[in-house]
Amino acid sequence: MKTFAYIMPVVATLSASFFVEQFAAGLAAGRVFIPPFLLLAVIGWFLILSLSGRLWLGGGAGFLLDTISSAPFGTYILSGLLVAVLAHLLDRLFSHRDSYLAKGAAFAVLYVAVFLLVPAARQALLYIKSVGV
Amino acid sequence: MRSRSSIFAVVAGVIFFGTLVIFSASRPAAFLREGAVRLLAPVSGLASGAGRWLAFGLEGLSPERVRFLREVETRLEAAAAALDDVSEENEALRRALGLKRESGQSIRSARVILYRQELRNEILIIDVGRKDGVHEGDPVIDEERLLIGQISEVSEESSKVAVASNPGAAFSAVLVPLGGKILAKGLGGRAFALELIPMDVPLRSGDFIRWVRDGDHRGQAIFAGSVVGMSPGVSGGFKTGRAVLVSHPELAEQVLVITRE
Repeated sequence: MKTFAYIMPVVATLSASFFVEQFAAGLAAGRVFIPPFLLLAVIGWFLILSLSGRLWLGGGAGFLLDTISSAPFGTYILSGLLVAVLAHLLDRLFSHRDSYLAKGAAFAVLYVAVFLLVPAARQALLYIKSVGV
Repeated sequence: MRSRSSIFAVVAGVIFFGTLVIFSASRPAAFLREGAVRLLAPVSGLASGAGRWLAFGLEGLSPERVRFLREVETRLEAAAAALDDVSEENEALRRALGLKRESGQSIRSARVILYRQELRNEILIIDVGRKDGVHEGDPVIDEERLLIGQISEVSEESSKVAVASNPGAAFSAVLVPLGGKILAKGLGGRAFALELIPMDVPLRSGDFIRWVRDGDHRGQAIFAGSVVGMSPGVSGGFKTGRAVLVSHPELAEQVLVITRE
């Protein structure tokens, strides 16, 4: 039941990061780059939760992003699930090194993975949609 | 050893989200998506409104004054390049509701629920959908008749608007005032690549590009972008250029959707 104890903090963190992202968009959209605060918060929680928590967080956050994104529906869900699995693999890889450097490296890997997986998932879904599957 | 409950949670999560993706067009999935939009809309509205308020405060002008000045600036620029046969505009939003065009098109007003910027893509979510007669591809303009984008996704009660300058977006356009049918392709970051410009048509910074529906080059005077320059070299016997979006999607609170009847 440990994962359930994280539900409120996760929801609060993601809500706050979404609020900050939208606030920044209202403040300076079109003029400066707006950091993806929501994505950063999700990746941060990926480093803490268990596998089941990561999968539900990745899928849930992906679902919310899909509803407000221009990508085909399912892009961020698929990407979130894959990044959750990757986070689990990295956790097992670095489990013997409980240092900030290891966590920072894992965070960076996951951040880069998102920007590689999202376009790939988008193209895959567009292709699937085009062939009418 | 992993507990049975965690294995169950993992399997349940994969099945649930996999089903959601596979059956994304089903009614339960559409219901969940509408619910998510309704859940996020007030948070987004509050946050972006606070951001805009602070932005106007930092500039030392009231939100109304800044908006008025931007509208005047855009209106003056557009008027200088307007064609002789452009019809007069209704300034108030309620006079534009239900306006029936001779071509069989109608204009539907919509409230912007959410604006989002992701890398070079920008989208709006508006509160009209399939039940209001909105279809994919319908153009969306602001109150000043400037092109914001096109409907990219429609659900029952809401729609997504992809900003016209998003990468991958393209539309037929006409240079104003010199004429010339061209192709405008979105590059992201509010920029367009102008292609298929005839060699005998001069391209001048400050000119405008007017959106046209395919096959209807006399269509509504909907300005999309302002020319900023010509690219060096030619491509296949045509010139290429650059333009920037003239509308401000991040400031839009009400938009107009030109629907097909």
